Amino acid sequence: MSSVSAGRRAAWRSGLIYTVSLSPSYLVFGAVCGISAKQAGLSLLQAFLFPALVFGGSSQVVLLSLLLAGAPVAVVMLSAVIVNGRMAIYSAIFSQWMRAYSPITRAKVAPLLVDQTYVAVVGYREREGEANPYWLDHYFAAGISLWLYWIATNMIGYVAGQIVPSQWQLEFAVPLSFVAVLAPMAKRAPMALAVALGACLSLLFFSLPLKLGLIAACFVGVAIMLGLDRKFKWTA
Amino acid sequence: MDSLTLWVAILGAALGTLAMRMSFLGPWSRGNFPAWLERGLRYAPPLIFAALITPMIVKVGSEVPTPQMIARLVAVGVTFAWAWIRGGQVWPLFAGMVTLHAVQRLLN
Repeated sequence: MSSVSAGRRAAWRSGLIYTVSLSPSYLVFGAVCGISAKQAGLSLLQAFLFPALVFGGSSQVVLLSLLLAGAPVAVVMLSAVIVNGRMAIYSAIFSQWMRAYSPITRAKVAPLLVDQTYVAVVGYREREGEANPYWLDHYFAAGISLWLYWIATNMIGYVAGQIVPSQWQLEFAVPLSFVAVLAPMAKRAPMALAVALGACLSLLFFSLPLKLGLIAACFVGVAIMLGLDRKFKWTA
Repeated sequence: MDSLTLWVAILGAALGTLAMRMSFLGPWSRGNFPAWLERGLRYAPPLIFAALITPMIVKVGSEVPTPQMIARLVAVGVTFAWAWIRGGQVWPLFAGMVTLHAVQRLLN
């Protein structure tokens, strides 16, 4: 019994450490979102609830900049949701991992699903093995702490503006944290090809408006990979 | 911007995003997908991650590589190599950030 809780404690600890490792870059990114909220004229309550309910930095920036540009409110909402369309893919992947879990546990996972919490679980399962039962503890530890920290950094941006000197380039820790998770994945040749394809397509579709390029790159890329997979029987 | 418009936009985006997150995690889905979709989902994560970060690393539109761009690429290489060889998340990230500043200082 004590070994069970030790494993669980370790999973929570590593989840919190994950959030701490991201905290400098999130301080910059969250502040950017808070500053945009201020510019768009959100009240303090709105600026608090917005990151709390949406919990997605790039969609928040898209929504606020469209509001400022005077776009119709339906277009504004829809664009933010499209930017978060990749969450549907993450939810499908979690759904596969959670076939044996109760409907309530499955539903509890959804609100904390963001790029970084998904990345946290992929990394954890890679390190600890897929049979390790504590990956959900790791997920909730990272997710809840990141969510609270995200709200806090948004509020800091709203109230105080950018407090980290831009020369520190802390925002670059965001792509680097993804690179750290990508690298072990890319050891298998088809996965390395998927990485290269994703990179190329994102540049090809870069000029599409409203961050549509990202979602376009995802769907076109996965379709191409499926075609290649069928032809060469990689996963058969 | 009137307050009502802002509320509609915030709550609409929140509900729509929650719908995306719940799409396969509600009681209507048990995680059993057709074989082709399972295969596609295997490729989605590396592809999305690469598509997400590439525009953050390479500045699209500038022709001459700036010192900052070179430093960023070297930093990505260091983080990638470290994570490939040793694994982990915190140290590869730290090594990359140190590299970024070291290379930039060197080139300036």
